[in-house]
Amino acid sequence: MSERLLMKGNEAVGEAAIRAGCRLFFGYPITPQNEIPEYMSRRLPEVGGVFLQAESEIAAINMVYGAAGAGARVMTSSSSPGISLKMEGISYIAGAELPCVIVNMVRGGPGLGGIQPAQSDYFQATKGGGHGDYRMLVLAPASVQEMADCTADAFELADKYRNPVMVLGDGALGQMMEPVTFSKPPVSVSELPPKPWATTGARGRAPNIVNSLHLENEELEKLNLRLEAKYRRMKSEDVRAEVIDCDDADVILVAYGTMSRVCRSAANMARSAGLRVGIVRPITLFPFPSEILSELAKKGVPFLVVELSLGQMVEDVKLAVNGASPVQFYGRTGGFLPTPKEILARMESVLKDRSQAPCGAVPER
Amino acid sequence: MIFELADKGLRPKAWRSETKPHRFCPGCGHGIILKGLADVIDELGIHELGVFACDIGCSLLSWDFFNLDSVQTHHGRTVPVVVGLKKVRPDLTVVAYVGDGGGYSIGLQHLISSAVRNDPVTVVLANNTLYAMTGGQMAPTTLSGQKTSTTPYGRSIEETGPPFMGPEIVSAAASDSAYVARGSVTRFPELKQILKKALLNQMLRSSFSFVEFLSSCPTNWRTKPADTLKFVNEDMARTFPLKEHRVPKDLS
Ligand SMILES: Cc1ncc(C[n+]2csc(CCOP(=O)(O)OP(=O)(O)O)c2C)c(N)n1
Ligand code: SF4
Repeated sequence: MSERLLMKGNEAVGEAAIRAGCRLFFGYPITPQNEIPEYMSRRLPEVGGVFLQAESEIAAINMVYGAAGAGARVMTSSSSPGISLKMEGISYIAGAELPCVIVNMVRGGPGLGGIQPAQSDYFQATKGGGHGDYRMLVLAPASVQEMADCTADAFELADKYRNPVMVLGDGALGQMMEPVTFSKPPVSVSELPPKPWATTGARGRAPNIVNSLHLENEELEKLNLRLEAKYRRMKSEDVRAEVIDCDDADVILVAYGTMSRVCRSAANMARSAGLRVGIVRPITLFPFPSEILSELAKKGVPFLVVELSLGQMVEDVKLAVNGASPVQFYGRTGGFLPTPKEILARMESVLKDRSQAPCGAVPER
Repeated sequence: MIFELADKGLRPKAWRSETKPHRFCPGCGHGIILKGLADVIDELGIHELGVFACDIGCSLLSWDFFNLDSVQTHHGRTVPVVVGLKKVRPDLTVVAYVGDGGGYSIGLQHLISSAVRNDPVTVVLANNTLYAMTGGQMAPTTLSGQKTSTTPYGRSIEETGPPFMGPEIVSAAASDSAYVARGSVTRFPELKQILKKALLNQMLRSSFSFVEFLSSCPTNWRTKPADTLKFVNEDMARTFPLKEHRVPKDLS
């Protein structure tokens, strides 16, 4: 079916998951993602699936651990404070190499923070988040259509790598309504490739063990190296970014998700004012599109990284650029969204003041 | 009505007047429980020796409700927070104020463990049969067949279990020294008696108290005043009997 439907971002995530063969959802209420569990509580019974409201986020992620271990396509969703609680389970899921999808509709923190859109969980999402040497593959959609597409892809990537995949949105993307098309036919659950490692009962085969304990040094290092090889493979096969008008750019904006939408308007404004502005929009935050950025940096063009935080992704941009060109930062927090005008003003100052401006400085207001 | 009293100088001393009128919806049970608590704090004169801690939920809207030192905690973690506080200052009287989601779902292990240890703290829980602050999802206390935003077909006991009987279960885990009871916002004088015993059990007997109150949430129930009252007094009371479950001998 490829009719266009008008949906909220959160609902698009739910529908896309069901179409991707997800038949289990474990969650716990938290704003601003409640439409996902609510959608699943309505839709999953219609397709013979299971919706369970767990007693906490810790319980929900451990139910995911069990279901993923049994070979099913399974999802959970939450928002920042709840994702922090899930980190314990995510570390185990990564260690046991199980595929699952985790959605984080980010809100501002630390602590209880607020419920407004934010991008302040970038570090937590891309650098591991829980304990131990592990990574999640992180997808950052920027529209309701992409919320659906990234969710569908998340299930494929999770199975491909036997790794947890996070869809990192925010309150604005979850609440906004836009048209969505589900162009791919729904996945038939019974036709998904078998998972011979799953704990489904050892009938006619040697027992499988889902495990993250390795007491021998050699064994643990072997796991860590295997994980590292997997993350390297992600970097070579699954980096995604949108690169817009960067060839002749005087300045390149780097932004993801909701922030990239505002940057687009800023770039249009700038172009009509005679400024040539490019945009790099990472879609995978891990693996990060470092090579794209380092290639562009060779021309010495300055970068302006814009985030709904006080500077997190900017660190990865700087690592990628590695001093080859100036990198500046602009961000707002507390639920404020930088306006195109603010970004334009910042771009002008980047161009005027390429050498003196401190890198990564907090904007003066 | 409460506000008229206040204008005549009858507002409880324990109320922080700058934050009144409070933030709860009209007809909300939280305001009634907290009014009762304020009266009892006045009666016991513990304004300078009490610390109030609230969970996340609509209970959170009380973080600046009282003229008392107050702590806002993480969802479900209010009980361990007041236990930590009490370990530093055993002379203080501490109150953990939580919702049914905070107390019976995400924070249940803390509630039960605290009861088992007989921690000298007072836990007050508002049972409104759902997660109010997040928009009315199922809670452990949701009644059989009750529709909520995550039980669109009505709560199924087969799939999600029966409504959680808090005082009954906590009293099974608690020691003989504990005070455990269930009251209702529709019985205000009794509510105050229960709160007073719950605080005295901490102050005089250094023991654990847990009290649940049937509480109203007209916003998420989508009820008019008369139906709100009826839901508490009939539907809820049928499932949740009003009762003192544990009363230490020297407290009654
Ligand atoms: C770790 C975490 N998970 C979820 C939430 C979202 N949340 C806010 S209030 C609340 C529950 C409120 O229900 P309840 O405890 O019954 O109190 P009520 O609002 O009904 O008074 C939840 C789940 C949160 N703040 N933190
Ligand atoms: S939503 Fe319900 S519990 Fe929350 S303040 Fe309003 S009436 Fe009270």
